[in-house]
Amino acid sequence: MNRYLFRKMNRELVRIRYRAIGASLLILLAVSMYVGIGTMVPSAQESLDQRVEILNLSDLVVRTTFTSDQLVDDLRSVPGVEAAEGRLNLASRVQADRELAATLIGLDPSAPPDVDTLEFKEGGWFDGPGEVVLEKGSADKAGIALGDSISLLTESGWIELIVVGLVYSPEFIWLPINPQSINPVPGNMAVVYLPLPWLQEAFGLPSGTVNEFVFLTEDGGAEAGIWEEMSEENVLFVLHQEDIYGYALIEEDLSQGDSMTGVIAGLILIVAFFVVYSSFVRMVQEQRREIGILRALGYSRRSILLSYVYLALIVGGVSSLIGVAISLPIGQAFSDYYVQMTLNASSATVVLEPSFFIVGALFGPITALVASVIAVWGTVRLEPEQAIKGTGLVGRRTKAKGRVPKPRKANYMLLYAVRKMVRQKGRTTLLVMAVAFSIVMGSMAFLMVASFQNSIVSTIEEGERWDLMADLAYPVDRTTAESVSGPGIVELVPVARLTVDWEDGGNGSTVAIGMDWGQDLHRFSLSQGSEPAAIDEALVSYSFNKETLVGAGDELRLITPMGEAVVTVTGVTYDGIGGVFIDRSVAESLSLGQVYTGMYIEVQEGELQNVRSQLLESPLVAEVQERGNLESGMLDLMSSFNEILYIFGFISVLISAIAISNIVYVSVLERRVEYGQLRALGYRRKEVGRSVYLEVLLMVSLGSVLAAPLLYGVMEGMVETFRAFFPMYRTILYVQDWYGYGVIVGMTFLLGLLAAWPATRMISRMDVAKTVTGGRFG
Amino acid sequence: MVLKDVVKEYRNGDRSVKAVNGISLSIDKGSFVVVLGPSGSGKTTLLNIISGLVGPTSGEVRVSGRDIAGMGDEEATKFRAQSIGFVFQFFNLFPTLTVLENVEIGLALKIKDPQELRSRSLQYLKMVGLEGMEGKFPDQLSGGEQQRVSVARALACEPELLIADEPTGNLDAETGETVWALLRDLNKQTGTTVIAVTHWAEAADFADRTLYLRSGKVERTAGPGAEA
Repeated sequence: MNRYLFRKMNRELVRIRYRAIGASLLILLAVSMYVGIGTMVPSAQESLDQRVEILNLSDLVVRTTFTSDQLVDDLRSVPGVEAAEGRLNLASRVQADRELAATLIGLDPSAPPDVDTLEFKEGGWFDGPGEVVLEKGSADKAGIALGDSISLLTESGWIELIVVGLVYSPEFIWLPINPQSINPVPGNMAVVYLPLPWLQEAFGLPSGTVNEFVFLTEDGGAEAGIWEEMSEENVLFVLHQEDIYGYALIEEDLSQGDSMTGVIAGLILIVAFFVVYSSFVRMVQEQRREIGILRALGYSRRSILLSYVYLALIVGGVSSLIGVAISLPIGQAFSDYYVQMTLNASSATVVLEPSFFIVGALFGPITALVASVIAVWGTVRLEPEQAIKGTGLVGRRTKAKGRVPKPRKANYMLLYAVRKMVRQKGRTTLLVMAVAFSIVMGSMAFLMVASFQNSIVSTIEEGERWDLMADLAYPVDRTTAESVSGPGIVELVPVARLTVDWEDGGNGSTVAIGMDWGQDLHRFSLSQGSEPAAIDEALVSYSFNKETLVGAGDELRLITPMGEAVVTVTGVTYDGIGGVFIDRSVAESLSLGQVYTGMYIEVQEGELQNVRSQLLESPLVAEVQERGNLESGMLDLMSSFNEILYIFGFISVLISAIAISNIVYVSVLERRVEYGQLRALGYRRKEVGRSVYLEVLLMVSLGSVLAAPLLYGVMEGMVETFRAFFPMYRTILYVQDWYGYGVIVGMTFLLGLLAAWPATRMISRMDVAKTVTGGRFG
Repeated sequence: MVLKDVVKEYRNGDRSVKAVNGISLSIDKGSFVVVLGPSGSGKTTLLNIISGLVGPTSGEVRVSGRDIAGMGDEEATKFRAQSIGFVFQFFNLFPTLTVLENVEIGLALKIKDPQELRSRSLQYLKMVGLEGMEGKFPDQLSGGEQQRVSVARALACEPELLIADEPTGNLDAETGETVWALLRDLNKQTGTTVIAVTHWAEAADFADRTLYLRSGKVERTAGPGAEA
């Protein structure tokens, strides 16, 4: 590039500074959003790891029958054990504004625990009897504040206690979830910390009784020693850190979040490319005459192209770098929001994923470069005369048609608009694609929620035949579970829940659910194979199947400290309540019988509330859910995303409007002479302006039509991804669910018409005489 | 058509230029007037004023008794649609419309009946010698043929006044001459008044009257009715 072109482009940059700033802001916004979203999950993961480290989340949890706390001292001396605590873990209920299932954890009152350390948010450690400390997440959800009194159900009845502290615990890193619940609902369980001696006394247990041990261990190696020390204990269940319910859910959420944010960030870049490209086309198009003059003066296509590449690199490079810099606080804000929402804590330092950082830094220059080369090439390839006069820009030469249709009433403005779109196929396609992508981006979120909601409703309607689902306060044997039966109950199906290690080619641990194969209150929806009939047959969940590739026909060895069993998998179910589904007798054999944590119940017509009250009177029952509650609880969880979805939809439409505005402006700019001629022929400003609006309407209509199958395709394509963490997910879309698409299309039409306004304003202000005569006067 | 003391002044910062500087003249209905003059003499500005594309700074312009100078944008637009036909140097055809549609798009403002619209368009295309080319697009035609389309488009509306601004400026000499002959023939056939601006001095041979402009003024006229 010679120095005159260099000087010209520098001055050009100053002249078009507002336009350049606009393009830069777009790149900057796209890059900062892209990197910001990309850093959200790794930063949250880092925060989670830090929280786990600082708060000493237990590596191992062992629940036993009641035993002496003397065992803790022996366990602490096992090689590889860094710290161990013995505690009492009981299930009960508390009353505040409403009644809640509660996990009661009895701790040594002399000092807060070394394992699963409590982080005090309000108040402090208990001073004496009658005082409790509550987990803050569940307390907030139940409306319990510091200083409030709550009632706790003990063996001797309801006892009033004062809340002296509110804490976060790594065990309940998400909202407290009852791990024994058949269908756990986050936050529906209170976690109450009490002085150990007081709890022992309140439940009539001998002094020094505990039933749960939590460990911090060095990497591997400690377990064998622990089992040796506990060989004489009745172990009820064992949880490894990765299986601790809230922690496992967050890890799963983060892993899904990683792929989801990748998709969203990618879509942001695609749409941003369309917009940046259209901005550059507009910028270059306005300088068409100048490019023609440069060509006429003898400047080569290459040198002109290079001068615009220089301009593009300045605009794209600078904005990308600023975008990456801004992405740090944006990433911090995103991860703060995410971490606050999931971990109830502040986020750690932003963790920059190198790939996001590199793509973000390169996006601006590359996009601007590609956009400017495409845009400039369209003009520099013209002969100088064509560029100066504005001819040769209507697309390829027409092939001879020679066809004259019969005379009919025609709207010549519509004809003109349609013909223009057909001749300028490339630009029409670009705009239609930009509109379609924006509509897909905007409405995808709405349809996803509708699909989730419909999946929940239809799965519950098709598969769940029970009227009530009861969660038991603690694992019991079958006879004890069935003892809650009474008047009004038609059928009762106890459900066993236990953590098992599994082996076939690989190995790991999962939750096993045991029930009668013959029962009909909970039906399985199978993705492959058939339902089991024999005792040694089993089903695996869709997620388990995807993760482990264990499917129909495979043999699976299930192992617990209490026993092992070999089962043959007959099918894969969309059920999400467990990983492996086994016959109840197998579940009992793996757990000394005390394995039932809940039950499905069918009641006589009109007896629902009576049975519910009757069940809740039993201290054995922690919580009772109606089928409708389950549905509405799950639907509520989904609807909490609505605000984010609306914002996402609006941003998509806004981006689409900017692209429409740029492309329509360029299109009008290119056809100034034609518009001038229309005015000279006697077409009014309004009529000519209307033709521009008509073009926009046609483009948006095409974009909307294209978006529908595209949207459906994207939705179908994401089924497998969503099923990995929400197995019941299916794209069940009804006509009414497309309202979100309708809203987005409506907004696109509206903003599209607004976006056409600058172009119509240009036509309105056009000097017709100057335009049609090529600017001559004299 | 009557012009009285018409002035058009353009301002450029502190400078002002009188592109048309006090022109008065009258043109008879059905006449063929050629305006000659060097660049910057005010030829195109004069045509723009007569056609209602721009208003004069001062003076009076009357076409068929109507005052063009005082017309607002809406009225001037309507006036152009009803009374003026244009032929430009660069043809100004719509590249995305066929030859026939290029003629019809202007005429559609006047004639609503599709049959009549079609027959009138075909009639004028035949008149300019483009019979059989109706379905072609402008870029499939030669420069001379394109200008013929623009003549047919202008005349199909049967305007009172045909304004031609350098109609052959973009054509070779031979083709240019045939276009001038065509304009003259059509002027005789249809009785439409034609005012054409050109640099080509030989165009005067086709004219009833020739105006020579210099520095925004009529320097001299030739032919019947010369009075400026």
